[in-house]
Amino acid sequence: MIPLYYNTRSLWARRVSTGLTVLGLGLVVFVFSAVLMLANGIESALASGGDPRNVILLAEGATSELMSNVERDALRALGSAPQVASSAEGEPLVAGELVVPVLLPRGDGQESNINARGIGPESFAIRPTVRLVAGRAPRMGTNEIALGEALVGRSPGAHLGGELVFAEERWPVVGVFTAEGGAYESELWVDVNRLGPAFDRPGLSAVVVRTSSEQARDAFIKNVKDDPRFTLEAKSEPEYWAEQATWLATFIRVLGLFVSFIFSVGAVLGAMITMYAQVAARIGELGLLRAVGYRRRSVLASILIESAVLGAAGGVLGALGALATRWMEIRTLNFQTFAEVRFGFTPTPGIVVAALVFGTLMGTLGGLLPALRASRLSILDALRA
Amino acid sequence: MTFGRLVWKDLLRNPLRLALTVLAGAVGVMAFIFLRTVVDLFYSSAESAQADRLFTRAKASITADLPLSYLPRISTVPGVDDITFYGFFGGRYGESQRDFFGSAFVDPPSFMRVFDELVVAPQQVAAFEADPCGALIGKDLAKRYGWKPGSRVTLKGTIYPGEWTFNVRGIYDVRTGTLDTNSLFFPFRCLNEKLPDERKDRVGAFMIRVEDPSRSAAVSSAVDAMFANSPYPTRTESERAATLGFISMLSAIITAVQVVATVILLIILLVIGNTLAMSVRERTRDLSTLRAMGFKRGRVMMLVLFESLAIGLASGGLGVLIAPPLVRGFVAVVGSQMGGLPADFMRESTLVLGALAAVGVSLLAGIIPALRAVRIPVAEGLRKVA
Repeated sequence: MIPLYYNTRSLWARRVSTGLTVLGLGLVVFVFSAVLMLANGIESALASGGDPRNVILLAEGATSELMSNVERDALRALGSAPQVASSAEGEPLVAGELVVPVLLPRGDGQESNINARGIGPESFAIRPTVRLVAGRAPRMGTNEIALGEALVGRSPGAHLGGELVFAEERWPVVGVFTAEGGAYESELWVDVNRLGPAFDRPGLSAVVVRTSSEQARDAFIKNVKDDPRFTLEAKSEPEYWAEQATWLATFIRVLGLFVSFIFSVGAVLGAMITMYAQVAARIGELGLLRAVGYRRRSVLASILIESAVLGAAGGVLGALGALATRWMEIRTLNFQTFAEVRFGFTPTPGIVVAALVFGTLMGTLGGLLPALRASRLSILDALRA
Repeated sequence: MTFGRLVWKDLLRNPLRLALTVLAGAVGVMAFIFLRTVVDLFYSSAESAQADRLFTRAKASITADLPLSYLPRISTVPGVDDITFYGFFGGRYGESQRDFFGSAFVDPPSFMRVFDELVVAPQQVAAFEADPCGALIGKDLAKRYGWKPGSRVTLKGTIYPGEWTFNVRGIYDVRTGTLDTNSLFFPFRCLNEKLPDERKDRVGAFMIRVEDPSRSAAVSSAVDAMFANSPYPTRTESERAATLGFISMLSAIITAVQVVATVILLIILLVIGNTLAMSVRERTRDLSTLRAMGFKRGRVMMLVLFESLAIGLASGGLGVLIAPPLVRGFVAVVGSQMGGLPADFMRESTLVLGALAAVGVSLLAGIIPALRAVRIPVAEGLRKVA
């Protein structure tokens, strides 16, 4: 086995070429891991909105709250089901909610679609992850609104003590809430009995129910399905939100991985160029190694290891660059909910490992042909060169 | 030996490396073209928007609807040539995202008048207008499911509960414009008759054709002023402004794609720069010999830059050749899962941009190696062992 030191010294001896190659490989790994982190970020932003004990009921056939239209009568009938949990005051944890996209002006002159959620008195209690971080909850029967934390500063007046204007009415902001990064953070909440009339929507979009346990939830979903009184579809909240993320996450993942694949072909070729040059410049040395007794496969392994080191260095560089993006956040429209979502680059250990493996693999692949050439040299020719 | 021949000989000094570099460059150019095409795709609908068409919807919210009774009132606004309406139906054909396609209700006669870019056989137009539950479907949609005039299509309502069956009466194509050929249109009355009273006679938006496109701003404000104090204020924009407004909400994604397209140029730069740096280092003695023979510094630098340019041109040419089939293949595989993408959107200007980017990047990549080539004094270069 040829010592690793020989490889690192050789790479250092041609540091410009090594540096350029590592940078190229690093850029590819950067794009690869950034894309995976982004798709992961979208999914966690939307999917973490759900509590496993909660059930969302939509009109039959509707795929999102936006399309759904539920009669108010359903609210009382659903609240009397035995599986429904109760609040501290003994009220059933059921809320009829209405979601309306509202066009709000942005600071830069453009506009964003923000979902306004009309809530019931129990909406906050149903979702323990939603916590007020400033101000107080909006009072029922008034136009007071609570802003998701992602919306603060997004529009003129979108801050505690500010005021928004939409649907020809004024809506004072009295509270700001977080939702552990979930989709609710990109919404504004207001009494459903004020939001509905403002938009001339007498019905509801959905009914949200908190059940007493996950077993009770399954029983509740089954009962709703079997009960001929309801033409509703019941889904657990996490399941609902995961469905809302599919289009955007798939779009980014498919596009990103396809691009990474094309990029990686380019980077493998780049690594190949460098390794061929390394072999060509060191024919004499390699011949000497063979002459002092190293076998062909040792030379092969040595060159392969060298290119793997090159790739691993690129992998580390790219992964570090990608990790640096986690302080960036992206806001865009989700086609499925038709509202703006905020998400970030969310790294997982799996993605970091994948990035390192990807980099090393690209390097090794690029070194394969040059290594074969190096190992096939005849000792005499090599020494004479 | 002419200068051109000298460049050629130098390039072929290491044919394997040349081939690998050109290939890597071509892959990069291809990726660049692919990404620019994705960006174009977002903007294509805005560019093809009709100048003389306005779009009136509820001011409060995208999903809010408007009363049909606004139609006769809007048509009295001076400058309005013709008017029609539509509503998003959003029916589901199958369970999966793959089976999604746009569906909307329209008023067939006025819809065909205002959207005069629709191409439908005359007897199919008559059949569509005669059937209260007829359907007009896009040619790509027809191809996807093998539907022909006479086929029956049942959609599951999302906004309007229940199952809705339509008879395909015609297949449309579009000359140009924002409409895709993946949608289904059916008459409003088919839906309206079956709705409960409180949901009857509500439409999604009105489409107005103005007599004089240069006066469309005045017409827009006249329409909006008419309903400003009604329960349902409106918002009227040109078709182009409406589409651009929608795209601006997606700006983060578009920016990300553009950033990645720039990263690819950087990768090409690194690969070509690396190759040239290596070849210049290996030829230190050759280049010094040239200078000893009387070649000026500028001439030697030109030699390196021309090599770089030749690599860039070859990469660009190859990339432009292989990009269109690749992009089409990608769209064929992925497009259907995303609910259908327009079939032909590869732009010549994007291809030209890709080739130009390759040339620009290759020249940039050649600068540092070219400077290195003439940096060392001739005597030292001649003595140097590469």
